[in-house]
Amino acid sequence: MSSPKSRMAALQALIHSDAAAAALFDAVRCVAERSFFSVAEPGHDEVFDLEARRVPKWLSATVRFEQGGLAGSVSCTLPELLAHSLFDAFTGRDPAEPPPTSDLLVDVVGEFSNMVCGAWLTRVASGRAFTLSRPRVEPTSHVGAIGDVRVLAAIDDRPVAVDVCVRT
Amino acid sequence: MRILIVDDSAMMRAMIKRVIKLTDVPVDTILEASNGEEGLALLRAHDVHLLLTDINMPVMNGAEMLRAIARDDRWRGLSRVIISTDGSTVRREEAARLDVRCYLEKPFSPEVLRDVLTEIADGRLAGTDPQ
Amino acid sequence: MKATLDAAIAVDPSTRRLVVGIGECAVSNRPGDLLVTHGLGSCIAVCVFDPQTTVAGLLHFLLPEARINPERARVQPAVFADTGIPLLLSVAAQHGLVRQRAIVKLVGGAEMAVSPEVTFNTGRRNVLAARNLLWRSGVFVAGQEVGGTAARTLHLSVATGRLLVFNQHACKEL
Repeated sequence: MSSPKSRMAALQALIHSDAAAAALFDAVRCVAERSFFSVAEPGHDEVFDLEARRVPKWLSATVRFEQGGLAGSVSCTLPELLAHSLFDAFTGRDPAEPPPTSDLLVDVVGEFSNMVCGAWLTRVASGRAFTLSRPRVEPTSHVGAIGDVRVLAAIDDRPVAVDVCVRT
Repeated sequence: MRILIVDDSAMMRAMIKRVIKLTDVPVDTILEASNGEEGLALLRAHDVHLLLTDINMPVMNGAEMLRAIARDDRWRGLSRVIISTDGSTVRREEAARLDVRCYLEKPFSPEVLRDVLTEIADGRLAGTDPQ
Repeated sequence: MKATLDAAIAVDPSTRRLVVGIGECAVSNRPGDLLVTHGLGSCIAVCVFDPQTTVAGLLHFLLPEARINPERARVQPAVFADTGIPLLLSVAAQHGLVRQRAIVKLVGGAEMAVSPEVTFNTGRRNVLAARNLLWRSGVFVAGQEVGGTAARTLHLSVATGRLLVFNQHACKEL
């Protein structure tokens, strides 16, 4: 079993390494492209702030994780309009079918966040297993940074923020 | 073939069902459960040929369910596939010990799942990972 | 280049070549036909083939979404993925193609130099748009030769569904 000191060192490395942030964006891109057929490009602060002001409704999905002595959460915050197109892409919805209910939108945003969290942990966790909580999804108007690591992306040209919080 | 999908995401179950229905695999029933406990109840009640299960689920996770299945001889012939975001070495090694035929890591394209289903239906899959 | 192409496919002089240009679509159920498209840069060619009814179709689209120019989409739906792919599948079905057994392949989606007409990353956007539309149409993709930075040419045989893809260096069967 690792000592508290080595766990803290691992935690610091996880939060502050460029590789961890790069792995997070890579996870977002992989999830967006493979399961949602959506283009994910790196976001930029100024562009994100500008785009964010135009978005009337956001959804934020948080997944908590535990991996050995490390625990934390990954939150994906994205416009509700993007949630609709992610739903269509993921389920293969025929345009003739009715649009998703709010419950289904919540589920798809939760699944997106679940996959991003899992894909990121698989990349940074050095082969160790992890457990994930059920995603908690809620509407939000707050899109400021909420954690230790933040990655901005544009998915199908819509602003997305992914925040990682880590605690011991 | 009777298939059981165990995942706490209704969206993921819907996506998997869609892939199943679009393939040539002869399926007469698709059963669904949202956690391992529900999954075991359905396995006891129905003669299932193929199990597709997530790992991280509330109530009973997929690993616990698979351990329960491995302990019971009545399910010796059940083909088991894991579909999970957890692609860690530890989970994959555990899966191999639990007679899991295939470990499919999320995210995956519909074609990858189609290929796994086709291989199992053809009876050719033998512990290979299509990813 | 032409000698290399002809040698690779051993074109029968009686073969009818249907050349599909940018923003065009063609479907044929004549076994002697060859569907051809050239200059696939960031564009995508969607190739469909039904081995049972020997129907083949080829769409060469330029951009993902018609909403950027609805008027153009109205007169030339094959320019965009979201109007062109339904058109291709619909016309192919009229000629006897059945989606459930259709063999669908994608070619193109290269990242070319930026020009006034196309935006950066267009190739990848086109690939993903095609995958999205096909999945929503209930169709799997059997193979793809996409990405890179080189333009491609392809030949699709109606008789056999054989798809040959050429760039300036090589010829490959997909």
